[in-house]
Amino acid sequence: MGKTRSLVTAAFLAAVLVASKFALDGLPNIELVSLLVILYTLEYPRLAVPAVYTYVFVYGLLNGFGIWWFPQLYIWAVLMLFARLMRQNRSVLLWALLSGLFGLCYGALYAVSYAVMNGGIAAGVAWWVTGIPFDLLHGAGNFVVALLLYKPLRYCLQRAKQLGPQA
Amino acid sequence: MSAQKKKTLIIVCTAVVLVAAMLAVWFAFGPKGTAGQKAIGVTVVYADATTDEFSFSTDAEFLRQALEEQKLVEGEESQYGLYVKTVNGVTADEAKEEWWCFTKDGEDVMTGVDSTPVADGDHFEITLKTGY
Repeated sequence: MGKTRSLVTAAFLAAVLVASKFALDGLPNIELVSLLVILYTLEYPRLAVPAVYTYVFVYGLLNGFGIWWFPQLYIWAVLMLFARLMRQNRSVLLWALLSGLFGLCYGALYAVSYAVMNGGIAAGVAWWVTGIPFDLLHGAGNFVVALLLYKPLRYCLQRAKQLGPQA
Repeated sequence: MSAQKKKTLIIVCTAVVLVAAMLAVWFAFGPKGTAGQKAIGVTVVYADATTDEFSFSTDAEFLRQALEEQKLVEGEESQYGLYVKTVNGVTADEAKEEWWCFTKDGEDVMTGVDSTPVADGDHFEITLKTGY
């Protein structure tokens, strides 16, 4: 893939992440970003990191670089790492479970940063505990979304990859 | 049992254990409201440092309901509950990076308004801050 094409593709993938994030913002804990990050890692292993971090940067520009932004720097890296480790997996159920587990752990991952920036482990744990109902919803939402959309979205990304510059 | 089935079973078990553990922690240590009538106070601090004081009684167990009963807050539903944008008719200007900070007796409130319990005699401050 040429440099220009890679750059444009990464920007497009990031734009899709941003659009999906804001399109579903009104639905509590239903998001496509986790599934898209998994799929980018599988279909565009070299572009996933620039695409995801462009999204993180744009998310900061649109919402402010507050303390809630910093955890984004490592949260998505954790998901990309697990997706990379499981890349041989062909079972949709397993991908849905991974996405669901990530949703369940999202608050705990966020709490690490909260603990560091807001006065220690006790503050982080307290913050995580109050968010548990949201994490449970997030996990369930991620599981269902991945179960329903993993195949069609992966097909779309594979088709997009097949479209060469001449197409 | 195939390796794939084994892997799926392990992840399903992990998810089930994790959900059970999270529910147990939530029920043991999660914020709990108390029933009955309470008298609470709220100070709203605006950008120019002027303030408005409110004292009222409520049966609400959590702050959101108590404030909404008084029509003191409005906002948008977010993944963490109500994201308060307007307090007592004053809307935080996101273009200026304004936001409403909730404290209780000067201490940061670590929960959203949906899950902040209220007790008799509580006093909250809602301050318009600038800069994320």
